Parts: sequence; C-alpha cells; structure tokens
Amino acid sequence: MRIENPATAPHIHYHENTKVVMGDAILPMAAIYAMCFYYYGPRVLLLLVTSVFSSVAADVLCTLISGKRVNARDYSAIVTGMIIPLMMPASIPFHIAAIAAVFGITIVKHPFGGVGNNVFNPAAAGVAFAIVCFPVRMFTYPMPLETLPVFPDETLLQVSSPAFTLQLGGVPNYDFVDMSLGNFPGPMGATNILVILACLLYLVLRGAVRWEMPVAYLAVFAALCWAFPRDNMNAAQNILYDMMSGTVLFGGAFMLTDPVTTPQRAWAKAAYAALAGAAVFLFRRYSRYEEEFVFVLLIMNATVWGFDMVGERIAGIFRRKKFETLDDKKVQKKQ
Amino acid sequence: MRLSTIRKYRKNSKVRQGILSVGRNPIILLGVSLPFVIATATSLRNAAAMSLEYVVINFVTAVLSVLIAGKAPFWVRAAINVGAATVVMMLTRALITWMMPDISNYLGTYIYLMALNGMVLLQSEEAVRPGPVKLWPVMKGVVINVAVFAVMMLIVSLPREYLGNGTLWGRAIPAPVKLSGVQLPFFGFISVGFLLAFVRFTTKKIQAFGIVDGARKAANERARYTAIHVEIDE
Repeated sequence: MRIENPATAPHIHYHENTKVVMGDAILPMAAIYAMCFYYYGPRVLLLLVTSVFSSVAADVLCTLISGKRVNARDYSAIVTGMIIPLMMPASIPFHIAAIAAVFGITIVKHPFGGVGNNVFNPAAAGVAFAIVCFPVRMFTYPMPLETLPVFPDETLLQVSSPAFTLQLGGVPNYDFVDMSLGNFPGPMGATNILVILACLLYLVLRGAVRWEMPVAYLAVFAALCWAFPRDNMNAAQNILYDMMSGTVLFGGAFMLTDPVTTPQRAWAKAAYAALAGAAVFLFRRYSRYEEEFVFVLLIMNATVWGFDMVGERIAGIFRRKKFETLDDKKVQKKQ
Repeated sequence: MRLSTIRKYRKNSKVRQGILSVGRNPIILLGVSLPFVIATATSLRNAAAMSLEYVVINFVTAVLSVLIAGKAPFWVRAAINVGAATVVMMLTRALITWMMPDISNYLGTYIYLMALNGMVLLQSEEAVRPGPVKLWPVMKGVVINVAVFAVMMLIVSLPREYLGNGTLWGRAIPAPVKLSGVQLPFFGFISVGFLLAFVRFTTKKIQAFGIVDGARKAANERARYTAIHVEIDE
C-alpha cells in the first residue's frame, strides 16, 4: 500500500469502515462496564451516560460549527465517551467526566479536523486534563463491592491505589488473584485485568488491533521491570504489580492501539508501541502522578508522523531492492 | 551568471536573513514575546501589569531608537536599547510592586525578561532602514503593537482567571467549577491557538463578504448601466 503523504495526520487505513472499527471497541468496553456495574453499582452507568452524552453533544456541535454534515454512523465520540469514565474512579463527580469528554472532543479532536484526522487521542487528552485540574478527585478510589450512592458525600471511604503505594516505594498488600479479578481500588475500568486481557484477545482476533502493538508494548515494559526491579520486591512481583496497578494494561489495550493515532506500517506500529512501553516504565518510576499513561500516550501521539516518515523511507528501500532483484532474475533468464 | 546560481543565492540569503535578521526571525519576533502571553496571562491583574510594563518599555526604546538612528552600528543600538529597557523595567517593576504588591512575586522572572522582548530588538533594526527616521511613524507602529499586545493579554487572561480561580480582577465571581489546569502554560498555548484560529476565520469571512458585496455592487452597477442604455436606445 502506497501512502500519499505520510507527513500528514494519521488516517484510518483498515479495510473496515469507521462504524465497524468503533463497534469493535464498544463491545469489549461494554463487557468492562458490566464488571464495573458488579463492583460499584448503578452509579457507573450514570457516569457512562453522562460522559457519552457530553461527548456526542460536543461532537455534533463542533461538526455543525465546522460546516460538515453530522454522520450518524460515526461512533468515535461514543468510544471516547466510554473510555473516559473507565480511567477514573467510580466515585468521580459527574461534571468531571463531562468536562473531560468535552475537552477531548472540542479542544483535541475537532480543531485537527475531526474523526480520522486527530493527532492526539481525545480520551487521553480529556483524562489528562481532568488529572491536571482535579488530582485529588482523580486519585482517590472507593473500595470495590461497595454500592456507591449517586452523589457520594465526604463520609464515603476512599483510598489510594496500589500504583500510589508503588510510587511511594512500598509493596501493595493485595494478592494477585484479587488483582487479576479487579477486586482492588483503582480506576474503575483498568482494574479488571482478566476482562481486559480477554477484550484485548478479542480485538486482536477480530483484526481491530494488530498483535504487534500490545505484544511489543507489554514485552518492553515487562523487560524493563524485570531488568530494573523496585526495592523490596523481586523481578516477577515487580512485573505483575506494575502491570496490574494503574492503567498500563487498559491503556495498552484500548488507547495505544487506536487506529487513528498510530503509525501505518506494522513494524512501525511495533516500534512505536515498544517506545511507549519504555516511556511508561520511565514515567512510572520518575513522574509526579501515579497514573502516567495518558501523558505518555499524548507525547507518543506527537511522534507518529516521524514513525510514518521513517517507515515509508525504509519500505521504499526494501521495495527498490525487491524490484532490483526481480530485474536481475529477468536478465539472468534472458541470458 | 547562471540562473541556478542566482536561485541558490536567493534561497541561501533568505535562510540567512531568516536566522540572522532580527526583523525576520520568527523565534526572536514571536518566541521572545509569546511566553508573556502563555505564562503570565493567567489573571486580569497580571495582564494589566505586564501590558503596563510593555507600554513603558516600548515607548522609551522607540524614542531612543529614533534618536540614535544612523549614529551607531546595529549591535551598539541594540545594546543601548536593551540597557535602557532594563533601566525602565526596574522602574516599572517598582511601580507595579507599589500598585499591586501581591502579583509582582507571581510574575517572577517574566517581569525581568520583558526588558528583552522582541519589539526592543526590532526597533533597533527598524532604525537601520534607508531614509530619514521620523518619530511619528515609529510611534504609530509602537501604539498599534502595544495595543494588540494588551488586548491579546486581556482576552487570554479573562477566561483563564474566571475558569481557573473563580475571580475577575481578584474579586470572587460565582463559577460553576474551578479548573486549575487552565492556569497552566499548556492552556495558554491552546488559548492563543484558538484565538489565532478565530481571527483567521473572521478575516476569511470578512474577506468573503467583501468579495460577495463587491460582486453584488458590480452587478447592480452593470444592471443600472444596462437599464440606462436601454432607456436611451428606446
């Protein structure tokens, strides 16, 4: 496939249309929402409705302002609206989810040309904005299996996540079975480790996500955790705790693999994901916030054009060599 | 001389001028002025203080650059201008500290950096242009520049103060929610970007209206002309 101008914004290049690609993302996230409903109660669904409504309303408004026709089959705003609450605590006030969704759509998605043209992931930008504006609200989590009231008051027990314990240099006191089942405090969608892995498998088998990306991302992250373990724990513990706490897995499954904001060539995708894995590792060790994935993703999104440009040049060299070999064979046959 | 050599010379001279010439280097022109809008335009009081400093420094250096025009090489004029701007900056800082003591600390290093804003250097180079340098045209340019800077500062700082602090000119105004993130520099870049996009959009619309309006007037004129001629023929 020849890319006309790799220096421009990335575009969806699967053979499926936007509806199919976004539908593939919506279905697994619905499964995660089912788990969140089990752990935190109906408030989760209200958060989902608030975020999706805000996201879609902002999207429609921006589309009308820019003089385009509203496409009812474009589910990208719904996907953005679904991802945002999953990266937040279940007790987050509704207005924060709405602000994050509106920020992602109006500031990050539409100024670059809307769906298929956005340089940065809108959901990541929305969550990053919420973290910057409301760090306390974003990093205190309710305990799972406690049904939350619709409007939680100050008496609600809220705790920090294992990612915060790791950041302070401690060892989380949750066993791995509980953690893999999602029975620990954290961003409501990112704690359901087994469900996320199952969703990732589904996306890979459906072809919505290239297997190179999650494999390269998780392999590099795990390799660095193994090579440079934290104090007070061995390499295996470090890998498991670091992968299960925070948004490392969720982000790798649903946000890093966004077809619009990733390079186009398969190996460029793998290199991009590997670099993202290394960056997430470094940010986890040295950054100020315990949830760093969204910031890493925004930085990595800015480098996509570079991966595309280098990827095309290298592909051109291989293509030329292939034609030269074919020419040589033809000459040899004639002789 | 070969045409390719001329083209090469022109291309190289453009690059050279872009890097070395103060008036054409975007980093010096924009990069040295932009941080004030990005970092300090977080409240109306900050914007007013920085605009006041900008006004005083630029007027003084403009007068000075006219007085010393053609009497010294560029590097001497630039040094004199920056030196004078530094002295004026110190005086203005004292004035700002006296008027608004709470914000002079907040402005921090930017209040000192204003002595080296893009306009000060630009004025040093403006004076090197051929022909006599008159005070009025230079002052007219400075007035426009200063007014644009102040308006830009106020426009960017107003939403950032209201949304970020829930205040306007330091007075509490009921706000539905406080977004502390809008006070950070990244939102300054976003604000300036949106402002530029809005200006571009408006300019395009005005131009389009002008073209349509002009075409409509021309069509009316043509129709009137035709009608008159038809009457005459009849």
